[in-house]
Amino acid sequence: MAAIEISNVSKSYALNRKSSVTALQGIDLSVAQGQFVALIGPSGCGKSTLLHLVAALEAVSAGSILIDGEPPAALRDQHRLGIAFQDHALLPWLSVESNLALPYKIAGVAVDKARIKHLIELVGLVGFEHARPSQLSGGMRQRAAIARSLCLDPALLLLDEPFGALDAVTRMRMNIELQRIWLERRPTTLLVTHSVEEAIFLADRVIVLGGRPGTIVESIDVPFPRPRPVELMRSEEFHRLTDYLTVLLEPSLR
Amino acid sequence: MGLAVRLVMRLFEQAWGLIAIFAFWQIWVMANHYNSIVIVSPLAVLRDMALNPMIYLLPSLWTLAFSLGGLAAGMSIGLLLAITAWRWRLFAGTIGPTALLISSTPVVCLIPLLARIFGYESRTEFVTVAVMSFFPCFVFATAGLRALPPMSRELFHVLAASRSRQLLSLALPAAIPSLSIALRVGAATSVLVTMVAEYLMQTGGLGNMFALTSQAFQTERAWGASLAAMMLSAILYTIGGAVELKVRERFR
Amino acid sequence: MTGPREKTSVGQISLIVAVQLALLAAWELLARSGALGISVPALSRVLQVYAQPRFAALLYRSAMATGKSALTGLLIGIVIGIVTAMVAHLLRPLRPGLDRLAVTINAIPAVALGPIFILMVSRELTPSLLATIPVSFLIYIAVSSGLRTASTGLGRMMTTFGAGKVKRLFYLEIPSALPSFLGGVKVSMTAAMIGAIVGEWFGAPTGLGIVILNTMQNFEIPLMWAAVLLVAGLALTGYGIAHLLERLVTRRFA
Repeated sequence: MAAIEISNVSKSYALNRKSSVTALQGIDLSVAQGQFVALIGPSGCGKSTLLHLVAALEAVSAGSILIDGEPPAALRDQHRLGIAFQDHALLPWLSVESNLALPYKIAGVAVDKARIKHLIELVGLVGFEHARPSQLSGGMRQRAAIARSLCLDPALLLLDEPFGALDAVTRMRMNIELQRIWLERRPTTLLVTHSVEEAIFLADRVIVLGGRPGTIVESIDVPFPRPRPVELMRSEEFHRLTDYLTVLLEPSLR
Repeated sequence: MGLAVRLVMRLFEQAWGLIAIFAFWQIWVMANHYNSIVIVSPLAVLRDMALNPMIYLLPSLWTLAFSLGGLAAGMSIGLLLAITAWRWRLFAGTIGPTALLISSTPVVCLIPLLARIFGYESRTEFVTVAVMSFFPCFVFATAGLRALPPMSRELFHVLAASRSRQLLSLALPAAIPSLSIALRVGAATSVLVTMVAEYLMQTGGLGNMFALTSQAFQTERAWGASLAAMMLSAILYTIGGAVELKVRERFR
Repeated sequence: MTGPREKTSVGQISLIVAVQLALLAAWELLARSGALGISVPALSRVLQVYAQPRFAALLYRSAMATGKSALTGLLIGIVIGIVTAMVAHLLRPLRPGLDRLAVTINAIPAVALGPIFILMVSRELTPSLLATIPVSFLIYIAVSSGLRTASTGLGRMMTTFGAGKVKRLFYLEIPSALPSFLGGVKVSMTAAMIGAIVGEWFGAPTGLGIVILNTMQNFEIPLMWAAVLLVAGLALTGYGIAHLLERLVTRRFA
């Protein structure tokens, strides 16, 4: 399991030769091993950018990100990073099973058939091993994408709005399942979402980012013990926390 | 009864244009009382083909072999160049202009040139078809290698995939639908280009057959050779279309 | 070529130009040393042909004849292609038959059609007619697929507003088919040149096709190369003009 240390990170993009836009400014965040952290914020606040920085998809403009004391690219090159996007990014010409075998092939290690079978069971896709992504529903594709992100037993799991394109009911069901799957090995996890309920239900800690340039506005620990039952979403304390964070995101609702 | 009527209707829906052309041709020939040296009726052509199938078979196979061989060579070269351009971006810029010049030169103009360089031999047919088919394949393959599924490039990046792994597992499979379009387009034209080359150089195949028989005033047979080439071209186009459809189902 | 548009730096452009010049220089030197055989003259010898008044006059006259045939064929082909595509679009039941007819007519070998056209019309008009056939086919394919790309959502909206078939055609489908049509014009340029040249081989009095054929038989190698390069130049110019038009229109309609 990995611990993340983000110190004073800024990210800006050049618009043209003269001007640039700052997406993130002075971000300080440390995530303990095995912690599940959710990043929420209004669209354009740079929450996905922060995730991309941790995934070594982009480089920081200033500051540093260390994962277990090393830069993110080191973890990536050891193939210890798992990621799922809002777009499932399953290869359309491969079956579910072959899509899950892909991370092993890329890492150049033997395909662990038993682990793939187990993951397919875990995400509830038994019977669809040989189906291709176009034959699956949106929710099933996301299950496959999440199973794929867990294949190599990652030290760090990055989830970039994985349920953002699903309808509300499917999304709620996927949240419950993600918790069950996550509890199995409890990898350190960063989840980017714009759903306050999703963040509170899943995370140990919720980080609220404010917009333009993105800065950390609030960081709260979620007190509920695990495993969290569905009924939790109807509890008064859950609603109180939801209201508090919603107002932080949209002050005009106060 | 109902089934038979529906079948005939289906056939008519597909073929009314062709039937009209054949009928027009037949009537035109009959009405003008043309001498059979100048122009022949479609029925006479079909009769000659039906009575002498072996005479047509060998040249057809010859033409088919050279078109498919040249097509395979041209498409391989096009794909290899596209992969090189994918791997080294600068290479794309350096070969682009040359490739564009070769491809925009009407291929039939190149036949005399190639015939001078490679000789009046069958290998020139092969080279002609290869030259004709390499550029479309290069263009389609270049576009295909970049038409990746959404976010898949980021996924491969996060999984620390090597360049060769990206090519094998991502870019090449993603390019297959584009390559199947290049195949369909190329297959039909390759027969016709081979035929022109054979006609000019008289090296063999249907083009040679057309040239010899029309010089000998065997007009039925000359037109029969063209009809055979048309059929070959149409068959290849249909097969290419079916392949493209299958590929599109599998890869999208 | 498609794909993400990346900026080419001045250094890269000069490198590309340098490579092209090096290729031309290699041609010149190799041909002079005799390594390419007698059939490939040095570039300078080909260029000298254009400077000789006798040859320049011949090439100019021939280029005018070929260009006129190709252009006539192009224009007639465009009209036939558009009209046929419109008919197929408005009268659906005719479409399968028209599709098949177009493919078949395009599959008739030009060497076989030449003699018929000479008989039916005249030697002078055969190049134009042979250019017409592939152009009408390409335009028919491009326009009919373009008419079908009109977004169904917009189509439904127009139907809701009570727009009839003809109104829909003029306000929605024709504008959506424009980019595809211009793509078709682009590939038609080379096809028209090919048709014109094959047509000339059947005994047109003048034209670049005649020059190429005669010089091939008389071993006037530099003149043959000069004529082929001229054909390529004409085709490339046509292609370039169509490309510019396409870019202008795509910017307006995309």
